[in-house]
Amino acid sequence: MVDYWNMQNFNNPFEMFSQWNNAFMPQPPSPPTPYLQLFQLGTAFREMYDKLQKQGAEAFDQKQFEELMRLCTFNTGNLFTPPLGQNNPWTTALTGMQGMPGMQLPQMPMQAPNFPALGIGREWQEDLIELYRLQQDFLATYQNYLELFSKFATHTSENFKKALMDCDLDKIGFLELCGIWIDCCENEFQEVASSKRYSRIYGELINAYMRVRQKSDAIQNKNSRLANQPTRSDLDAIQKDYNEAKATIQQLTLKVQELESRVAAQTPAPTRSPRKSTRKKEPEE
Amino acid sequence: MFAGENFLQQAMDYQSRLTNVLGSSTNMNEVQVGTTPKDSIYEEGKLKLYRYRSSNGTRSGNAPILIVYALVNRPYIADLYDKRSLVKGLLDNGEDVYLIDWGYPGPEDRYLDLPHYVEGYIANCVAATLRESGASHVNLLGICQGGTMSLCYAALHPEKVNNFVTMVTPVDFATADNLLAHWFNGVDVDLVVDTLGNVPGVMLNSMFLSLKPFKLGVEKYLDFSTIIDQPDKVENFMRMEKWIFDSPDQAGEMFRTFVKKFSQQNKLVKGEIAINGRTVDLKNIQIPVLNLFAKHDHLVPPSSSQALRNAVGTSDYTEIGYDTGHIGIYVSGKAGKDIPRRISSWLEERSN
Repeated sequence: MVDYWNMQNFNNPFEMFSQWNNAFMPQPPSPPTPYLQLFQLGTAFREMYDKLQKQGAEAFDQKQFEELMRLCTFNTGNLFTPPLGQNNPWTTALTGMQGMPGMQLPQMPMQAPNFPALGIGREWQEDLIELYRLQQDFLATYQNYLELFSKFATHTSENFKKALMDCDLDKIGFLELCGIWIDCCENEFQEVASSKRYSRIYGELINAYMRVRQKSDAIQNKNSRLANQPTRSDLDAIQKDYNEAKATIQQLTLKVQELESRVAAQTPAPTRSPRKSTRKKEPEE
Repeated sequence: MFAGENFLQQAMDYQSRLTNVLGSSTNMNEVQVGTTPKDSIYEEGKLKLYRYRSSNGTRSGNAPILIVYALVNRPYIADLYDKRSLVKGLLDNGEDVYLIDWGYPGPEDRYLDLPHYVEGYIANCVAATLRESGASHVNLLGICQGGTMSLCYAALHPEKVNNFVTMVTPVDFATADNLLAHWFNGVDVDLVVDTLGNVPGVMLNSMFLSLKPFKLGVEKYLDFSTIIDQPDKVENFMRMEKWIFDSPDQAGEMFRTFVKKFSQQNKLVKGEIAINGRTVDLKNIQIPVLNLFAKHDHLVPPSSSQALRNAVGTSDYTEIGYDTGHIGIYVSGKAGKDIPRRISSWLEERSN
């Protein structure tokens, strides 16, 4: 019987996990779960290492490394995710690595319903069609955004290869190797992210997402009105009035202070003279 | 050739450390931040103005220091814990320290704009500080975006401020190495604010982190595994994580103004910002200015901060660059110790 917990039976941790997977998950799910994607990434990294160990840095396989990069940057994480999501690394880790937060868009029903008696008629259908069109625009922009990184894996692996040639491989440790790889990735990312094209497409992506949100909110507003409930725009209007009133008070206060200081500057300082009593003298008897 | 056995051992060590992370993280208590004793002396809406209690009972005699922090993230980074505390360092040097805590804006704060912050909150906090301390002037210490807002205040009310200290403060937003401003250029900020109202803090946070996705999203957590068996360092790491992800939402109109007028149109250095009808002319700042910046700042590049030299009207201008990053300037050992001492001695030299 194989002792699954004894590392002596395996050459590396990934072999052990491979045994584990075979025992408990003979049929890998399709598409692979985030856990499996991480496992594939680790295995690919290990395979690359084995090859380098046996044949030296000259045996660096660029295609293999590019595949590893793709697994790392697009499948397992949301490193390139634009700031549309609501997660931080901790919540992401604790909730089992969800998909890309930006993709959490309002769901488009398969068929726009039609209930004229409830106020759900042609106009409502048009709203949903418009929402669907905006979603498609967003997805197209997102594709453009991903294309910015189409050469990312190739360029990073080229840089990684150069860095491997320059360093003393005999003395390199696990975290140092990761550090070299991270530096290569970061440098390439900065190259892409500081281009004018990136700025334009990044802006388009955020704007496209906001249009979807705006339309979705507008539909929700209409639904609230149908249900005779206060809408977000109603609350916004109240808050706007309140803040305008506050701003007016602030300006008036400043004006008063200014006038007071002007008056104080013009009025001569009161001289200290004995105050005249305003009390009437008691008639002498 | 790789040192294969060594590599394998390290990979396995790393894995076992990660397992320990999971085990020990369940036993950790919530980390404490901002522990220097303080009293709230003024409140307005969500805002609180704190006065810190003197640590050794002595006061330098300098005017009180009012710290104005940014609206993004929380101001307790200036007082993270006793060994990494700008506030405590200043108190130990005998300064009378006040700090504005902006709180967490809610939907009702959506329409707060630049005049509310500068002529309202900051002006009221200056007045409260003067009342509480009995002084006639304050020394302003503006940090990051708080520095930019403080510049506006000092330009409009130079008579209230004795000396001005800025830390990692953006002034010129159009320098070539300003990646954040470069990304904002394509964003329709009107659409963002009209759609979202207040801008979620987590959204901005993820933007800040994605400026360096591999360093801040991967390397930091890989490095974490190397300190997992050192409780003090783990606690510090967790304090920083708590602070980084403690991001208040941004009042919508203020966000619109800041991104549009300051970042996209770069109006501050052009002298085109107006508040309540008055133009913010930085040349009005003729009091002494001390500008502290970080040489490796990826959020506010040194070039953006150093633009202050030519923007202000003072002839008494000092700038010091620290060999650290945007966050390191508060929490790195060297900068953390040096900055309070420098600020105090610089103020001392200029005290009447």
